[in-house]
Amino acid sequence: MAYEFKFPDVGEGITEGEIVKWLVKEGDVVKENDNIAQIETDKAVVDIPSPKSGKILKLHFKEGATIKVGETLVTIDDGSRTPAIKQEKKVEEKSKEKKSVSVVGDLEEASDEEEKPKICMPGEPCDEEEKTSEIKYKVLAVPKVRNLANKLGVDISKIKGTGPEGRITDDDVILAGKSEKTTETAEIEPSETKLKVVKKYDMWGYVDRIPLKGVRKTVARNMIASVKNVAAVTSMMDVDVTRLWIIREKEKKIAEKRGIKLTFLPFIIKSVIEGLKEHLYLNAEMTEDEIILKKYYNIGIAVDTEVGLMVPVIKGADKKSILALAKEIAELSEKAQKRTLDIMDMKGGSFTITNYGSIGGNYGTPIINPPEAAILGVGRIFNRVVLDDHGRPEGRKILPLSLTFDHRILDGAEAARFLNVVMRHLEDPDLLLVEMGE
Amino acid sequence: MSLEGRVADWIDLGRVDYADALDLQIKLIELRKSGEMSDVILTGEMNPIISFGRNNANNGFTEDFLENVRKKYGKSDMNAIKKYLHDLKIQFYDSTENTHMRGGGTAYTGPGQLVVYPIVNHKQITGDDLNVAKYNEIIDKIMTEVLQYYGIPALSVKVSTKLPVNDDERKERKDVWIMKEKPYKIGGKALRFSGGVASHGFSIYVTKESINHFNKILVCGYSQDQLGVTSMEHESGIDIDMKKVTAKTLEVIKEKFNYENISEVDLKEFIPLEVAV
Repeated sequence: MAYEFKFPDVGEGITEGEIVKWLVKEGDVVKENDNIAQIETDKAVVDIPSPKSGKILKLHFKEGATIKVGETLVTIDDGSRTPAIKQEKKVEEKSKEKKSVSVVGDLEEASDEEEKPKICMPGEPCDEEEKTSEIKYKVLAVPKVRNLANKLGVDISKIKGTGPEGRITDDDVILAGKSEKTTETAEIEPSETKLKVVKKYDMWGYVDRIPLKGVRKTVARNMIASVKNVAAVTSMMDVDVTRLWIIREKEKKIAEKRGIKLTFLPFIIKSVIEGLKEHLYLNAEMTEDEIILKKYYNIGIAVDTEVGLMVPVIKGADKKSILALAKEIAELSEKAQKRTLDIMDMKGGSFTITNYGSIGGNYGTPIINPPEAAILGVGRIFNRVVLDDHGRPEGRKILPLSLTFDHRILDGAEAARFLNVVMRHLEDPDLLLVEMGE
Repeated sequence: MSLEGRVADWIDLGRVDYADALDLQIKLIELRKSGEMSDVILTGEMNPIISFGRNNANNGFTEDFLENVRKKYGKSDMNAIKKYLHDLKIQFYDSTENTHMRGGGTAYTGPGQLVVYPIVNHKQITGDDLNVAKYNEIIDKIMTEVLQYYGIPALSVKVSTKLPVNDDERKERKDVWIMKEKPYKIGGKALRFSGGVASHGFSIYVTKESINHFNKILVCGYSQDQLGVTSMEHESGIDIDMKKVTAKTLEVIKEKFNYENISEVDLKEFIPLEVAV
């Protein structure tokens, strides 16, 4: 059915606008509320949304042309029940009629048939109910009156007009509004207070509903993008960090004197960077037609905050000492908690480490932080009894690692080799050449 | 109307580049559309910039200015003009080459002008789904009220002037003017409506310095003998503190937009919403 969308009344005194730009062309399929044109009225550029879903049959004006309020902007086919040719004719007839009357006070004349064109103000319902209305006699009313009827929630087709030739006037609508209110129940809320109904239960019991917004919403969006676009595989490995444990216990005290809390994370970052230097495809990004190998080592660290997960990035982590890293981690975590991170603090990461072990848990299947190629999950260190070279039982400290990588960019073998390098450095911390200076 | 009192945030941008302010605005518009933030009012001052509006017919420079460009570069095409402006440390922005355009014609924006960008749900302000005229009128009221507070007789009236580019075309425009022997402009206005959100906004020429470069352009397509430009300091004869004008403007906005409260926020508070992972 062809639907004529007329340039809506955008305020008293504004009678015309200039079509700046079409955002659709004939033949395009649009959804309701998609913007179809930009129109400039005095000092303002207005995006005009489509009142209907359907196919654009005709753009009635060229870019740069002036359109008057009430003139047809586009014809939209919103699912044809009537042959298109017949529609075209109707459109033509309508536009002929239009030419003879002034535009601002233009009268809308509903035809006997279903396809009565109706001015749909953006946001107002142009719904099915109205179309299937059983009362089909002629309705004569200017747009102002129709808007008033809409506002008051009065069905204009049920009003008998008292104006010239049976036109419906403001007074008719107001009167009808009053009588409807008195005959119907008085409980009806005024149309302006649209209360959102939130059910506090579902069919199984009581529930709380948390609006999806802010950081939570962003996390959700990014994670879905990651899961959809990345061929993620997770590989897990246990690392014996007994020696590192001893070193860290010793250095922790020295660091404390400098006011720095030394955790395992800086050592892990250093080991990861050694791995990334040897296995370039883990410090990479894939675009449509190429793989970008990054020559910088910016390590994102996932931080749990009250509002959700944030990932501040340590820039140039390869050039920083263990203590400098420890200090920066503490600063960034604090900023994340206080929500004072700058936009630049969170950009430019090339690899991410998520340390869920600090809360609890051994293994995980972390989701890659796009567009990066991999993410390392760090679990909680636990004790394990192993047999030494002489077959004697011995207590060891074990760090469980879980690496998720993008199988589009690299294969499992390379991921395993990368993990081996990380393991070697964590097991033998001398390799890290701990620089305690800042 | 919401049952709860409406509130808005205010971000003071300080002195910024037009392009940066525009980028920020585009992001905030999206956040406002999706309902992730409440109404927000941006205020600040721009580094000197001449920008073309959407309406190319009303974009242009004065003959004197073009003559100066010719003297220096031998010609006065857009390239030469851009170079000349660059020499003067004035940026140039062509809205017609950009998808996010503003209405109007050539404008100069620069230090000493208070720029105000309300990024707001206009339905809640006008009470109508899309009422450009009413919103326009409210903006005019805000501007005139601020100016009148300083004793400047600004009026929101229709002015009819011939466009220099096309003498046949006579347009009336309602705007904020100081009416003397000819209308004087003391502020600018350009609005945009999209998806229920109004953006861009208005500027008020506060200091004398703020109108220094208007002699170079055809203001909104008009030449200076048709339309003058003035500032609050010129009109009031006193030195005016930008901070005080900003505070007064927010006070008037609070009343006209019917906010219960406008609270200042740090720009950084908005950022995690967008880039956190």
